[in-house]
Amino acid sequence: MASAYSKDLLLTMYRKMYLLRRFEERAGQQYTLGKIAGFCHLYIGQEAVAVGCNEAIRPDDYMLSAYRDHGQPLARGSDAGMIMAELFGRGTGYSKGKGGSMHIFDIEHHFYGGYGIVGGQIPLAAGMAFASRYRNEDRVTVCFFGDAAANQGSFHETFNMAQKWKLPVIYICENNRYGMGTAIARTSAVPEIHKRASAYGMRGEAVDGMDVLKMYEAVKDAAEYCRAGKGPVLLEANTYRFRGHSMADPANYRTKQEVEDERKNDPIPKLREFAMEQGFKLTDADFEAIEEEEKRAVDAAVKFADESPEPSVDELWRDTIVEEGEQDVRPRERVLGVKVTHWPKYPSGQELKVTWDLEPRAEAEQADKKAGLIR
Amino acid sequence: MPELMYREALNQALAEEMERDANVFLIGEEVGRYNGAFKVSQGLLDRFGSARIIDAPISELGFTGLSVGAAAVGLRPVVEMMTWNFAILAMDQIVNNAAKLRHMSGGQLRCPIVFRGPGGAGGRLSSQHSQALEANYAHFPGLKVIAPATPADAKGMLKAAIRDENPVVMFEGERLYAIKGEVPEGEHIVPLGKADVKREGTDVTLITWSRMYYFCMEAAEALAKEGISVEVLDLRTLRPLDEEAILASVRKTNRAVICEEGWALAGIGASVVDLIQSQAFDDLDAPVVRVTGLDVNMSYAANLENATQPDAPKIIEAVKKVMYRGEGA
Amino acid sequence: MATPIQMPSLSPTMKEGKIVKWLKKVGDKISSGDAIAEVETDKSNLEVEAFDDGYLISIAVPEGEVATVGSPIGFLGAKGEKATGGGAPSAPAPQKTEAPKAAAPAAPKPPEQAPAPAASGAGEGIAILMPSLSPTMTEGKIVKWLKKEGDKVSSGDAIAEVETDKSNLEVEAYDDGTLARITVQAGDMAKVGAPIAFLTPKGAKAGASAPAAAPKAPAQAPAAAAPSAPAGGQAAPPRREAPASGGGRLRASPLAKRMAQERGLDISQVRGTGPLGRVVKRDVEQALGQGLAKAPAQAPAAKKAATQPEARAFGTRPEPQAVPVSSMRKVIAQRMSEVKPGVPHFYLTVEVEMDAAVKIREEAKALDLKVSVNDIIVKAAAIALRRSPKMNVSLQGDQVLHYGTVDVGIAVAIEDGLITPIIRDADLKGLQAISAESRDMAERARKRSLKPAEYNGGSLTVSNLGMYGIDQFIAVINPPQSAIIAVGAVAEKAVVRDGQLAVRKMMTVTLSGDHRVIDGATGAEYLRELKGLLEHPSRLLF
Repeated sequence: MASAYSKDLLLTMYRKMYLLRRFEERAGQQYTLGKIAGFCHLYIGQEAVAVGCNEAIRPDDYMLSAYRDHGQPLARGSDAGMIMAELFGRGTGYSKGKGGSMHIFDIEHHFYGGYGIVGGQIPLAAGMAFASRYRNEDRVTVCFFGDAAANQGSFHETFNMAQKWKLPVIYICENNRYGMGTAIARTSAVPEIHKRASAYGMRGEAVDGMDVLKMYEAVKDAAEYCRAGKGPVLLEANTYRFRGHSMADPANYRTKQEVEDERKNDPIPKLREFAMEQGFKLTDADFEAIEEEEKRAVDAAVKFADESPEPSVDELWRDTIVEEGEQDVRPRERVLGVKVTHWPKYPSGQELKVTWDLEPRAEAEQADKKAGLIR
Repeated sequence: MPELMYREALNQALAEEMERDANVFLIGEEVGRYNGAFKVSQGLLDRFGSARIIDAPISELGFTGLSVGAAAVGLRPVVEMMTWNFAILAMDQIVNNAAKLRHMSGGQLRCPIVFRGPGGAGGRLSSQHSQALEANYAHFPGLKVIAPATPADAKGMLKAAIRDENPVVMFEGERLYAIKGEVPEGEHIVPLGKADVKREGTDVTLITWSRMYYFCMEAAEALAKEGISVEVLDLRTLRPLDEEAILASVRKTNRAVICEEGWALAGIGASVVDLIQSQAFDDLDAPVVRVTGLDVNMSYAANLENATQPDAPKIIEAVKKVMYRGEGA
Repeated sequence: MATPIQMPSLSPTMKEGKIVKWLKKVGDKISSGDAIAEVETDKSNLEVEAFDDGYLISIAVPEGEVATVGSPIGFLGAKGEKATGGGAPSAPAPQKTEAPKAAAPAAPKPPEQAPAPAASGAGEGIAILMPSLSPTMTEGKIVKWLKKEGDKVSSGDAIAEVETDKSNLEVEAYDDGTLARITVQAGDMAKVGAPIAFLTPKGAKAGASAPAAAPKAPAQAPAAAAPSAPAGGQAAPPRREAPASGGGRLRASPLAKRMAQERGLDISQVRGTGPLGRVVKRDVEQALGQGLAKAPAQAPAAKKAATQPEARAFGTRPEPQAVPVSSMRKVIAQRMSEVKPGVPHFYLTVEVEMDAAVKIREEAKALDLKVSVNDIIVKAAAIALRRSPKMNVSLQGDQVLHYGTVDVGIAVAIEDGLITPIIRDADLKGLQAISAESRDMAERARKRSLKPAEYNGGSLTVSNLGMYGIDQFIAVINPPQSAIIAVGAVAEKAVVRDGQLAVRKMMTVTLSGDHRVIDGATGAEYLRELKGLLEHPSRLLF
C-alpha cells in the first residue's frame, strides 16, 4: 500500500520533533546547572504542533509565537547553537543575548519572535497579514498562542478585524490545558477555544495537536484557504506539555497519573510507529541514527553556547533606537559569517502599487442607501 | 507663506507623505468616511482609497497592535488616536511591542510607525477626557515623543516622524487644531530632537511645549512691558530632550521657569529641572520654578477647569519669583 | 564512568535544596527524563530529572539533607559499575540542616594574630566571629571596640566597629551575656569567621581568664564611651565665619558665588537682596560696581595654595612614611590587578595652554639662560606633586610609601633603550638648577655612567616626546613609581576663548596612574593643579 506521505516528509518531521525534544531536555538541564536563568518555558510534549505546521507552509510565510518559543524557530530551521546561546545570554545568540528564552527572533527564517505579554502577539500577526494583503502577496502569517491568551481582549479585538478585512492569518491556539497553573476550564465560559471563532463568523476547528500528521493536514488546508483570500482561520491544537509551565513550576495542579497517561500519547513514538507501517522498510536503526545525529547537534549547540562570550558592554546602547542610516542586524552573518540570502525584502513606497480596496465604495454606498442615507 | 490651521498643516503633511510613499497608511477611528473626528484626515479617503485610509473598529489595542505588526514587516503606519485618553488601552502595544521590537530582536527588526492624536485638556470634558499624558510615553526608551505647538512645526514634525525609522508618539492638542500660523509649502521638515527658541530674551528662560507655548508667549509679552526680557524655548521634542538647547539658554539667562500642562510629579519638567541643576548649577541665580497643572483631576465646571490649568498670570508670577521681583523677593 | 547527578537550580533564586525523597534506589535503571528524587527548594517541591541513561550507582546526599546547587547528589553509571574514584568521593560533604552554624570544613582559617578558636574557644563560652559584611569581604579590621571586657552585652548590641573593603560597619552580638575577652584588638585584622571575642552566656559565671585585661580601661573609660575621634584625630574643620548678611550660613545663588570667586570678591561682604538675604547676581554686580573686588584671578588660587603642604628646607630629606594598605585599597588593588594584571594603569588626558610657559623660556633666553619647556614641566610636575600628597606614593608589598620628598624622574632615550634619572627635590630647585641637572644626567645617561642611586626612587616620571612631533601618547609606568605623565608637542591650535576663535600654543599631557594606589579623582586633581601651574607659571613662585 502506497503511503499518503513521502518517506522524506515523515523522516524530516521525525528528525525535527526529536531535535525539539532533545533541545528542550538539554535546555532544561542547562537551566538546572545555572547556565540559563530567568523564565524558561519548555516545549516538551507539544512538538507535533510546531513541526506539523511548519511542514505545511512555505518558508517565506511569516510566523510568530508567545514566550514558549524555542520549538517554532527550530522547526523553521534556525541555528540551534544560536538559540541555545540566546538562552545562555551570550553575544552569539540571535538577539545578542538581549532577549533570552522568551524572545527568540530569526527574521532570516521568517520567524518574527516570541512575545512575553500574554496575547500581545495576536494583533501583530494580523498586522503582518495586513501587510501581505496590502502588498498583494500570497503569503500567510501563522501565529501561535496559548489557551489562556484566548481570554485576552487582544484575541477578540483582532479576530473581529481579521475576519472583517479577510486577512490571511492562521491562528494556532496551543491548548495545553493550563494557563500557568490554572486549568483553562476553570476560567473560561467556553473552554473549547475554536468555538469562539464563530462569534466573528470566522472559521474555527479543533485539531489533535499530539499527532503531527493531523496538524500537518489541518494547517495545509488552512493555508490554502487563507491564500485564496477567504480570510483567517483559528485552529485549536489540543496538546499537552509534559513539563511544568516554566522551569520553576512543580506542576502540583495536575496529577502524576494525568501526566503519565498523556505521555502514552507522545507524538514522537507515534510518528515512528506510523512511518514504520508505511512500507518504506524503515527499521529501528534508521530512527536511532537520526536520534544520534540530533543528539550530537544539540550537544554541539550547548557547547557552542557555553563557549560563547557574553555580549560586549557596548551593546547596551545599541538596538534601542535605530540611528540614521543604521542597517538591520542579520544574526547568522554577524555570528557565523554566513552570507544571508533570504532576508525579507519589502517594496519601496515608490515601486509599491496598492490595489486592495478594503471597503469597496459601491458596497458602502449601497449599505448607506439601505439605511436611508444619501451620500 | 500661506496661513493654515494646525489641523490643515497636519492634513497637508499626511497627504504629502502618502503621495510620496505608498507604504504609508492611516488607520484610526473615524478617519475615513467621517473625515476625522477633528477633521485632520479630511478628504484623504477619496484621495487614497480604503486600504490606505482605514476606518478602524473601536479597538484601540487591536488596531494599534495590528499597525505595529505591519510596521515590523515594512509598512509605515500612522495610527490616529481619537484622543490620547483612549490610547491608554493601546499602551501595551506601544510600550511592550513597538518600543521593544528592535531590542528584543537584537537589531533585526525596526518599527517605523507614528502614533498621533490630541492630548491635553479638551474643554469642559471632565477628567477622563482632559489629561496631558505625554510624560508617560517620554519615560520609555525605544520611543520618540513629540508635541509641536505651531502649525508649521506640526507639519514639519509629522513629516519627519513618518520618515523616522523608530516609533514616534505625537501629541497634538484638541485646542490647537484651529490655531492658525504660517506654514511653508511642500518639503518642510523639522528634525526631531531639536528645541526651538521661539522668542529671544536675556533675563529668564521659559521652557515649554504644545499648548502651554501660547500662554508663555502671552506672559513674555506682558513681562516685556515691565522690563523683563523672557526667552521662550519650545522643546517640541520631549524624547530625546534637546539638552544642549536647554543648557545654552539657561547659561545665558541664569534663570528658568518650566511650564507644563500635565501634573507635576514625575512630569517632564522634573527631568528638565534635574538636567539644569546637575549641568548648569553654577549658572543659576535662582531656583528653577515649575508651573504645572494642579495635582487634581480635571473638573467639568468652568471655574474649576480654569483653575486647574496653567495660564499666563501663573507664569508671570513664577517668572517674577525667579527674578526676585514682587512677593518674596 | 560515573556521571554525577547534580543538585539542580530549580528557581531563579534557589541556592540549595533538600532531598525530600529518593524516587530511585541504588541499582535502579534510569532513563533520560526519569524523575529520580524530590527536592525541596526555597519555593516548592520539585523533581530532579535524569538527563542521561544508566543505573543509579550511588546516592551522595541522603534524604533529609541539603546540598548546594551544582553539587552531586548521586551518580549514574553502567550496570554493575561502582562509584569509585572519579567524582563521587570528592563531592563536598552535604551540610546538615540542623547545624548551619557549625564551622564548615571550608570555613576560612583564623588569622595568625588571633588565638586559634579550637584551643581557647571551648572553655570560653560563645565566640563572636568576624562577620562577612559585604559580598567581597574576606577579612576585616577592628577599628574600635564599642564594648569593653566585662561589659554586659545583649543580642543586637553593636559591640565593635569593623573596617571592611567597602566601609566601616558595626558587629552585632547575637547572644546575651558578658563580654569576657577580646581576642582581636583595635587596629588588628581578622579573617571572616575567626573569633574576635568571647561572650560568657547570661547566667554562667565569667571565665577565670575573662576580666584579666579589663581594668586597664577606666582611665580612659568616660571619654572612650562617647564615639571618640580617631587616634591623632584631626581637629574639626574650622567653622565658616558668619557672613555679613547675618544669621547662620551664607546664602548666595550658585551664579553669585561663581561670579564672586571669578572676580575675587569676598561674597560675605555683599549684602543679599534675594529671599532670606540670598546674595544674587544683581548684588554681586552692584558690589563689583562699588569696587569691592580684590586682586582678581590670583586670589582664590593663592588661598588654596596656602592650605597645601609647605615646602621643606633644603638639606633635610625625611624618610618616606610607610602606611599599611587599607582594606578598601587592598580590594581595589586586587580587583584592578585581576582585570589588568601587573600594574593596572588608568589614563587621564588634559590639554594645556602653554603660551605663558613658552614666554618664560623666551624670557630666560633673553637672559642667556638655558631653560627648556621640559624643565618648566618638570618643575610644575614637582610643585603639583607637593600639593597632591596622595599622588606622591608608591606601593611596596602591602604597604603604601608616602614620600616626604618630591623626586621626579625624567625619561631619557638612549641608544637601544631608555633610562629615567631622578631630579631629587625638584620642587625645591629653581628652573636653572633643574635645567642644568637634567642636561647633565641626560648626558651621562647616554654615556651609561649614571649610578643606580641616580635613577632609583621617585613616584612620578615626566616623559616628553614633543620634540618628535608626537601630539599625544600613553606612557607605561616605571615601577615602583605610581605615575607617569606623557607630554606631547607644543603646537598652535585654534581654540575658543570667550566665545571667540583664538590661536593658542596647546600641549597634551596624559597621566598614567597605578590604579592600585591612585584613583581617577586623585589623578584628575593632580592634572588640574599641573595645568593651572603651567598656564599661570607665576604660581610656580609660591
